[in-house]
Amino acid sequence: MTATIEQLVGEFIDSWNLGRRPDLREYLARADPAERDELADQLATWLEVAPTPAYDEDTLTQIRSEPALVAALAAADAQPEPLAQRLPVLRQRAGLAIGELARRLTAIFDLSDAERAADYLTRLERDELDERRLSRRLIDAIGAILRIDPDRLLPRPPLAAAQTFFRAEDGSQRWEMRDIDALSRAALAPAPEPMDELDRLFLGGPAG
Amino acid sequence: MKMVTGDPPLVRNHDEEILRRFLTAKRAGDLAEARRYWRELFTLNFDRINNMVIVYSRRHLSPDEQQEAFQRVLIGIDEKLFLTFKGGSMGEWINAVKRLITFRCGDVKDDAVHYAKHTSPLHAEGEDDDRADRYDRDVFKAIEKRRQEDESFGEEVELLAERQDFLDWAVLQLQGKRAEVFKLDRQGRSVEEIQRELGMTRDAVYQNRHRAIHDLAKLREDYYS
Repeated sequence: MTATIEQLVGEFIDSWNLGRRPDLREYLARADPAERDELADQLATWLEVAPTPAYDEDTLTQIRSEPALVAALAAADAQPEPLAQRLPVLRQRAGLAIGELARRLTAIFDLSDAERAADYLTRLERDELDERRLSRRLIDAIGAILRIDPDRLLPRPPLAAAQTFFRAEDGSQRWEMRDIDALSRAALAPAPEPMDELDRLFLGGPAG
Repeated sequence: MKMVTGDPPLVRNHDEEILRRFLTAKRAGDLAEARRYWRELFTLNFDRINNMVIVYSRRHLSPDEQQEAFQRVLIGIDEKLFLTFKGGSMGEWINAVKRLITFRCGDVKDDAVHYAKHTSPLHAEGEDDDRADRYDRDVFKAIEKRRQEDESFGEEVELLAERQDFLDWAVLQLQGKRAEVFKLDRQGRSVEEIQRELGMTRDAVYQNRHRAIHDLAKLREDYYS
């Protein structure tokens, strides 16, 4: 005999508030099949408003060792390798040569210069290109071709600010003069060619 | 059996306190401390999130897919929601999590559909470049669409933060015994305590609880419509 919705909702809430970790699937299975949708709606409402139970230490330890939670935290904590190391592995796993990846990339964006795209990809894999300059669109497109979550291709977070600053030592004035000199020469040089679509994909930054 | 003396502390307040500490640490730029409180919060809500994934996806995803969706939701809470959450109450936190669950369950469903639709043709002999290119474009478009939704998700979370907490409003709309039962439910009281306090039978507590939740579901529709 199946239990009534009232009974099941009542028992679920009792079990929840006592910190006994009720499994929603079990309650749905106990309901009359014709009433499962209504029970699901009621339990969904409860879950949105329910207080978080005051779990005892044993239960909290049990929750902290749940495989799904442990795996999620480990995945979030993992520091990715440089893209120059990740990309060749993922590309080879997908069975694609650089030329083929370049051809399919240019097809997605309706571009014709697959050879130049291959050159960019080669430089990326040789770590000659700053991965933080890649556009988000490019990362999504590579993810689409390799059939992987594009987030796996995201650049590593930059170093903490404290690691990137250094104290000026003696001789810094000489460096400043050299920098000013270089800037003056750059100001006199002709402006670089404007970036085309392919350049923007590889060099335009996340919004490029 | 535990004796009831005076008003017990609201169980919900524990969450609110952790959330408050998270927000304080985040505002102060102490991300390590903020992360610690954030993880404490979602560990305490692990069962809520798991059951919400099951209930929202039960008609669309297989048990294995639900597990995959749950995993993605947990990672999403730890990575994305940690950065985008702008609310100030547990009601807003739960709303934000609910929205993330909807997205991630949709992602898993989309992936399953794509896999079923394209795996065989892609590996069939004689696959031509055009077919691969068309599929690349389909997947790329799906990824871009998902990204836009994720970005609008961040904006909606901000809008949610400006709204009055639904519960603060809805609980005041409940009437009579069902309001009294529900108030005690939300304090985490056991059914025996509620029976004693309100002088009701167990069946009457269950009946009023059922009606209160039914009313809340209707109020929620009105509130968000």
